[in-house]
Amino acid sequence: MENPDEIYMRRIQDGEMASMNVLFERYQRPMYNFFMKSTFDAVASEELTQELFIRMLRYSASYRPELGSVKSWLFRMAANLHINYRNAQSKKAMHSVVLTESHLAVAETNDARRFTEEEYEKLGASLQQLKTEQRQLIVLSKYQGLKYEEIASITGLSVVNVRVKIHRAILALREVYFKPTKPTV
Amino acid sequence: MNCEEAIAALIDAKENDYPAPASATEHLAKCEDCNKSIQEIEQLFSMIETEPSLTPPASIRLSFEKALTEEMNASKPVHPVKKTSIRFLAAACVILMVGVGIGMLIMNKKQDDIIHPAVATNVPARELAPSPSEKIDMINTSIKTSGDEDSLLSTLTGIVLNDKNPNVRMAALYALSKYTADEQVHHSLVAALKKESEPVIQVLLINMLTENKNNGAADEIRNLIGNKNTRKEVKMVAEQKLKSL
Repeated sequence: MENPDEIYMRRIQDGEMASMNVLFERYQRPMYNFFMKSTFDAVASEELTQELFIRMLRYSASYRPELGSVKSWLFRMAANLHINYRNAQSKKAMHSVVLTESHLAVAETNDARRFTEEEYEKLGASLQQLKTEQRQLIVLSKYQGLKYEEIASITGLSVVNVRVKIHRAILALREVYFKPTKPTV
Repeated sequence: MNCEEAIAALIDAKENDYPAPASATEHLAKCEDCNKSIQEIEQLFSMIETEPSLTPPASIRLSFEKALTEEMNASKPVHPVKKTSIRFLAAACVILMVGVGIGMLIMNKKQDDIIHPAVATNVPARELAPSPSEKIDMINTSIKTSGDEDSLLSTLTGIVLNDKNPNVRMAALYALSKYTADEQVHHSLVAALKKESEPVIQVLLINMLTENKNNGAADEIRNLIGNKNTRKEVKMVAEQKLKSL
């Protein structure tokens, strides 16, 4: 099915800025969740999401459909913002902000969940232990459900390379998550 | 097939939703380590799928709306003021002032009789109806949580046909995209195409109505092509899809 995002983008490029609202409505949740899973920092995710949509406004004229979908274009900008954020962070002392109760309070309720809060927290902690690139690939592939081709367009890697790296990232996540914990004395 | 190849083939199959190759499943049946690895990977995938997503804080919307308003104001063309425009402006001001005066007279007279529904029910006006983004959130949540499919489809088609906000109608259409083979949904989408004036939603409806090669919408698509108010991009998609039926 053809994606209507491109038609909205063309209208924006023709000066109908109000069409931006539709793209914002459609992508603000996935983008915020992308940053949350990439940074595990609610304040940073809020700022990065704001910055992303401001960039979308400023650079809409540079979007070219032949280079990929609007979704890929947005995720590419989001991935770059995340890398810039990581680079800035690496200059500071490493810190991690685990989800606070107030953030969990706004989490969507999902009756389909079969795991405990502790298990989700452990999954988050395991993701944080992966290399930035591995974490980003898992977030794009598993949390955001993007196809290898889309991830290749976002990251600039080849599809084959994306496949191999995602496999490695999944195995690394498994290794960290199921690693036996040392008993506390 | 060795362990590494078998695991890679099994992950590929899960990632792309296709059956695992026989050689990999044969390996799995014999190899206890790989069996354990795959079970653990399945558990991780399942956790990721069921982990609740977070609602973005309202400050993101506020910041976006502020930036959008600035951008829209900045892109408005500035026209030089002509003498004739000044005369028109003066006349408009006089008319406006007379209108405001008459309006105030009427309001003063009737003010005691008017009770805003929000006051009457002690409910803030903001809470009387959900905002478009709240509706979109509700739609997204209901897709994941609703157990009653008939009721869900009826609600979604109702939104597509009646909601005034194009963003809300789009969200409902995205939610309905897996049900295009359902006959009732198809009829509702045909009715929606007849009513719809938003080009991007017209395109979405045409795509949804034609993806199953069901020609029940052909007449309505032809009407759209024949309508002089239909945008050329929409006509292009409509003609292309009509040929594919």
